[in-house]
Amino acid sequence: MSGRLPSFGEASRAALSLTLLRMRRGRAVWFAAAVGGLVVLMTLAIRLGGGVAPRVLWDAVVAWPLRYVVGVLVPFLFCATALSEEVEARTITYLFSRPAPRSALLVGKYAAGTAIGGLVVCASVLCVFLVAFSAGGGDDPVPWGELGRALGGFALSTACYGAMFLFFGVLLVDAPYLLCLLYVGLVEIPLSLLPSVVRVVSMSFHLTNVLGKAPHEQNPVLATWNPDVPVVASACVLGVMALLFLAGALSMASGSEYRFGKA
Amino acid sequence: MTAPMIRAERLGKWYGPVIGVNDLSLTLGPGVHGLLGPNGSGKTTFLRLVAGQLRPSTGKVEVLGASPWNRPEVLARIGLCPEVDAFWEELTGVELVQALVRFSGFDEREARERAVRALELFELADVMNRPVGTYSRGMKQRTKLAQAFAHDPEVLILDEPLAGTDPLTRTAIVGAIRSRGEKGACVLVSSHVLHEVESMTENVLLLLKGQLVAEGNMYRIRELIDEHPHRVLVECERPRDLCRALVDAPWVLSLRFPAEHELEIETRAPDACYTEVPERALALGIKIRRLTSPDASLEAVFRYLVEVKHKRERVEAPAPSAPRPEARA
Amino acid sequence: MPIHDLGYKPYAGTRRPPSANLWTLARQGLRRAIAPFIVKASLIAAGFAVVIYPIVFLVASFAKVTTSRGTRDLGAALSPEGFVRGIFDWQLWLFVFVITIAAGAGAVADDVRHRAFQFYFAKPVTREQYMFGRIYPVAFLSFLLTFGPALALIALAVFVAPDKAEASTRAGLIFPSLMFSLAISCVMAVVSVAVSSLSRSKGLTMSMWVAIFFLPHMVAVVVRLVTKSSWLYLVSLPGSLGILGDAIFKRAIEGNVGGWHALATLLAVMVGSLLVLRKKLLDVEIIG
Repeated sequence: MSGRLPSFGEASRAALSLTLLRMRRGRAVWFAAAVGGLVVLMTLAIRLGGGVAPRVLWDAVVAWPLRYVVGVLVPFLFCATALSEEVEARTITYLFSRPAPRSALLVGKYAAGTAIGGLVVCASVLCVFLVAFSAGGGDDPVPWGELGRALGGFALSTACYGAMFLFFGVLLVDAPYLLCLLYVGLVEIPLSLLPSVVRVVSMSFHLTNVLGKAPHEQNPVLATWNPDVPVVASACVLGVMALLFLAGALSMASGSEYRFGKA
Repeated sequence: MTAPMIRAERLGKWYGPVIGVNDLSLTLGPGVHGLLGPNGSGKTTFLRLVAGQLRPSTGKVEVLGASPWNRPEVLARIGLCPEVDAFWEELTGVELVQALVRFSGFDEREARERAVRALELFELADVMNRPVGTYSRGMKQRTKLAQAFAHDPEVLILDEPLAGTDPLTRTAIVGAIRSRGEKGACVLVSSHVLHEVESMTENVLLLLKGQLVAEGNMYRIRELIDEHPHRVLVECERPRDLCRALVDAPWVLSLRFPAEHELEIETRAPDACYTEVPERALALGIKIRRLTSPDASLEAVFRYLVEVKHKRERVEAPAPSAPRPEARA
Repeated sequence: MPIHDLGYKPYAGTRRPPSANLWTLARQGLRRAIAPFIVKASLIAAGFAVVIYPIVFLVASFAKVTTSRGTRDLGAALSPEGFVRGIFDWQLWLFVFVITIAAGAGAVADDVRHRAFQFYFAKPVTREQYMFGRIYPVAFLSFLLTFGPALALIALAVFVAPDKAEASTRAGLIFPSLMFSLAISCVMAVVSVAVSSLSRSKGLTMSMWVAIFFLPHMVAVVVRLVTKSSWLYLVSLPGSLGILGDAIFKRAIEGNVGGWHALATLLAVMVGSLLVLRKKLLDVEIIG
């Protein structure tokens, strides 16, 4: 009996389980967990130090380390090199010689990366929230609704950044970090600081909007430049961008010879 | 007549300005076929084209009646053992093969059973639960073969399958390849070592500089190789005296002096040459410093076959669409 | 008639001592480091920076701002040492970080992945020479990217100085600039290359470097925001370098930490990184 033709779902599931198996044996998950854990530890240290209002602490941790480091770094770690690592290690030859559509392989890898990445990011958010409000909400009640928004927002942003970084990695397999770095350094952060509607280009603006916080609220000038975008619209932007970039990555991967095309 | 399993028609592949495969046409049916050629002759490129990993620049290649490029339904019937030593080294042997078999449409249980069977076939049963990173080179080679065989493909593409293996393992691998060929699969095996391929099949394809220079039965090609005039280079003290002593020998075709202390003999009987040259030199008291054959490499034989092909082309002057003047048996 | 012996003749010329491998590795490393497009682009962009900073300085020196309260001379309020000190932050966060990502954070991982150690260590190359060969290119490029623009700016500041005494004061900025450039380039090169030895996966080592560079800084920002304490800036590489820079340029340091604290922290980080890198290289077994 020769090999059967797997359906798209079967091939994606096979890619997903292979990627998860490799992640379980690798160090990337531990590293991501350590990054998230460090932020939680820091929150705990400040909380135990006392004198800081839970809301102030929660807002500061979400605004800086969670949004700009954990939320961006974790998807980068799991998605940017999903394909380029296989190409560099030349294990891609096994995957592309199998009867699985390339798009299914990529979907499986993306799903694994986003699932694990999302889990790490959301676990960090949850722990930070629990630590920050461990002694109640101070004068105000514990904002459980905000936790739900934060978990949803960070899950969406992980999916969105994951798809973007996957696309950049597929586009430039020889240096996947290059486009990711340029994007974060030239688009994501600078544009989130620019006035008014220019900010909507930055995904971190939409994440902040979903979280229900005013971007750069510490800075009186930057805070007043905030465009008024409905929360639902920001959530949709994150979801749609994830789908668009994923589609772009799939179409890029389907037609390329990758390094087989070198003498 | 059996339907062709692999068919190439005026197939060409360029890597920028470099030619990988050039105007290659062939048809292969069931059985084992050896693909021979020196390094850089285009063997791996041809195999990658057949395995659907490269897109032809010109012409076409068909496997089981369809192009393999980006066609899962064709890839489902192909097994590839690549040349590169690349693995997910953190996985165990059985996990690696199982994961790859799952991509061929088998469920987890069936994939595991097949992976175990394939690893047993290549005598890896006792190490299959160890990470591949801890395997020796020969074990890795056999793991590559196991993943290619595990889903019982109709077309097997094996790039240098005997590289890095010891003699005992070679016997097992050769046995598995022959058995698959006898069961009706089309097995295409590449190598640059003539006797390796000889142990698996009589059908060979000779590739040089991306072109098919000979195709057919191994023994017919061996005869061609024997017709090839050999050159023997003798480095000695008095080459002109030695030349005088050899000029009447029946096996000598020509004699020349490429350098001051060198004599080059062209012969169709290299065995007689290697026996008689030292004897005659000894009789004359000439000290021989070196006795070598510049034609000993496979590449030299291939070059000769190219010359034969060109000569025949000139004589027969075939029409552009005529079949290639291969050394068919 | 001469007889030509075409047999094997051992090389009879002079051979350079094995210690010369240090510079061979350094040169080879530099060639390899500037090969990626992003490094070339950074160097070109930094070339523009050499021109842009002096232009900004020149404009600011002669600018006059007219408001309802009258005309104010901007140049009078402009402090050359503050300006020179400021460009180091820009260069560090933008170009030096990019160089360390592209040439430093994947350097050793790349060699492990491509099994290059079997070639290096089959030659009379010591682990320490190899370390130097990997660190030097990143440090050299980082130094160019920091000291080059600073030097150009100082030259202009001297040229437009109102009097000789001021020109001499401004010329004195060369020494702190040199010190700070050396500090930035050594710290960034050593730590990024050490991080690159922690895994064979380039993606992972780069992510680690990004995390090491940004995460402690973000943590320090949060801690300062909520507790007004600046101590945690010491665990941030850019934070410590910033404090050290302020101390070198004799500028007021924000918060409750001093230049010596930053210097001690950075030295400890460098020594620790070198020890980690050396241990990783000593432990490596060459498997072909």
